[in-house]
Amino acid sequence: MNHSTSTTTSRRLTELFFLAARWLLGGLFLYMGLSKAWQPLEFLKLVRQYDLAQSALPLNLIAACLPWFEAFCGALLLAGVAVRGTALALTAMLVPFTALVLRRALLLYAAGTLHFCAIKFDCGCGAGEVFVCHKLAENAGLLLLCCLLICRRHSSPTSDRKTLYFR
Amino acid sequence: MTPQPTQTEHGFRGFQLKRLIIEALAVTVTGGLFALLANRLSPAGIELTRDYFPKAPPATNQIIPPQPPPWDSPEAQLHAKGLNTLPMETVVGLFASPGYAADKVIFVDARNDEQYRAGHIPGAFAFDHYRPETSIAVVFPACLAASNVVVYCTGGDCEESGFAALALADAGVPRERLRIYVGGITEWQAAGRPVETGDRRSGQFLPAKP
Repeated sequence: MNHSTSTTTSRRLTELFFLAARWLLGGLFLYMGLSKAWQPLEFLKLVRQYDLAQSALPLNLIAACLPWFEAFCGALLLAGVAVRGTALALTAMLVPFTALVLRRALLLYAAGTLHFCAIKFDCGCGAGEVFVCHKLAENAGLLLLCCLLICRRHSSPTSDRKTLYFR
Repeated sequence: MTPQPTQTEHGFRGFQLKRLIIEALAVTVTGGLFALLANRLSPAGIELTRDYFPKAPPATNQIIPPQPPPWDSPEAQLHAKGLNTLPMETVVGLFASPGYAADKVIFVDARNDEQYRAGHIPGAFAFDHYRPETSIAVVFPACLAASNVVVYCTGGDCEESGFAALALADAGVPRERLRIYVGGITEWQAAGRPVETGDRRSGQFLPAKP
């Protein structure tokens, strides 16, 4: 009986943790997406600094779509719709973006005399100028949350065994 | 000892992985379509085919100078685009000249509306080249009537003045009339020069710095 109660409590705590992770991630992406979508031209100028594309169309597409896509994913996470798929899509977006931030930071580091963590720039993340180490740590945290949501085990007792390997 | 997953469990794992990837693709496609639609409907949306960062059009019978590296000075960058620059002393001289009062010398503020309203060179026209439709009808005739058009933005390595000058040249303003004030509003303000707020000729000025 006691074992059963502790299992239920543990399961509830896990559920609560995943709910908080989902809401945190969803709220963050919704906020960051909308803040960029509000002023897409400012975002376009920042995206241009990454030298992702030489012609106008791909650059405009990234700047026009990315903010709304982030907001869309944020809304899906908040609503609890297609959570694992959304988390995977966000991971696929976050990994190259983090690599781009790191590349730009390394270029600035190589060109200047600043300590790596003292490098600060507006990465186009929706929060203005940030220290690169903070940004990389934040992205690592977001990636971790995404991975947790992707690999989460279903709470339904009937599906527990089946989804065991996705923990 | 940990039990090994059976063949059925392996198959189920593959099925779940496939489902996850399909779900992610569905989210990406739906999200992408939603994003395109939202951008199209948003009043601040981006025109997908427009080049917001124009380069200098190649002039005929002219050798195009090699593009300077991005870390070159703002002056060098602008000269490479075929644009002339002005130092602060010349700009102050133009501001004090009779031509300024007669609208033969005009100033064009290439920053966005919010920045313009917060403070601009007195009498300057607002021209945000990212949103030309809002001001081109006023700015273009004024540029054609003027003999000197001084375009500026924040100063330093801001690029808006260069883009705005190229957009005006593209619209038909003779290029030799266009000059870039590289120091921009930051240098102007730091030198204690008058700064007008709100609309053009609003008569409201920022208090002079001691």
